[in-house]
Amino acid sequence: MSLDKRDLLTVMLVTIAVSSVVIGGASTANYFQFYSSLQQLQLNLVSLQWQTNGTAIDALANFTIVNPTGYVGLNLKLFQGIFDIRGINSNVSVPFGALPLAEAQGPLGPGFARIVKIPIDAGGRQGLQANELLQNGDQIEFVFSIDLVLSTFLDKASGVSAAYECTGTSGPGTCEQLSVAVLTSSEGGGGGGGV
Amino acid sequence: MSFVLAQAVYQRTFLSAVDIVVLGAICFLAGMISLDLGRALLSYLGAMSIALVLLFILAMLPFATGSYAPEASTVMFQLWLSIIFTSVFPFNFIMLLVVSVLGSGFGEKYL
Repeated sequence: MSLDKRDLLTVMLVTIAVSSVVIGGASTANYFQFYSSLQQLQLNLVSLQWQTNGTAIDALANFTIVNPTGYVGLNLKLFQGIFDIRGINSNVSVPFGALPLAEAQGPLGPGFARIVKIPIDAGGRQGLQANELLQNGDQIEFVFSIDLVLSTFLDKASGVSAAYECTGTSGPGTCEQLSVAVLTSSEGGGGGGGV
Repeated sequence: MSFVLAQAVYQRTFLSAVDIVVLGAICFLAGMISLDLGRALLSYLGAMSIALVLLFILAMLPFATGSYAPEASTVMFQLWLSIIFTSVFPFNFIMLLVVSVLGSGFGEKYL
């Protein structure tokens, strides 16, 4: 009789173990795609429109962020960056500082394209400098240095961000991933590593 | 045990209450089946050691391909060591040990 009870308990244990392997196996398979999803996370400058009034440049940059992998669990926490306007012929760069903060938070599911629209008002002294480039017959291009701060399953232990540089004159531009950083902190200070 | 830990740390880096209950059930059942305190203790220590080593190996497996910077491997090595250690030690480790012992006592008495 006691053997029957023990057999029953063994069956229960095996059932729990097999269920755990199935569920844990799916999580592990998803985890294996985590680092490649960071490496392959695409930031695209879909379109850039701008106009000048002689003193300032108004522009609208449309970006998309695409996770081309099957990894589930990436979330965009912050879209931040700086931009310059550069004279293509003169190679003179006019720094404008931080981009306006965009409402872009949300999940980056597999194959999903998150759209981020950034309205830019490039005025002030730098606006005049950029207009000077135009008046001198130079062509201008926008250079965006963007950090995507991501929320991942590692949030409790570290932060993850991806850095990109995007350039565009008007219409679609090009973006390149510069680095992916996994930042860890400890009592003694901070550390980081590029993936 | 390894895969219960895997689905926890590979999704959120810590054990939830449900994970601890499932691990507790596994330890309790295993303890009951072992029918002996010494064997239950040894089985628990062995299973936990294998589970943690396997968990760490699986966590570092993506870096074995060599497609990531060496600095990244070093940082992730330290990070995963810390994640796995803090998710299990000391509270959960001791609690599950006690549950295994209770299971073996229960098994000795009722089976």
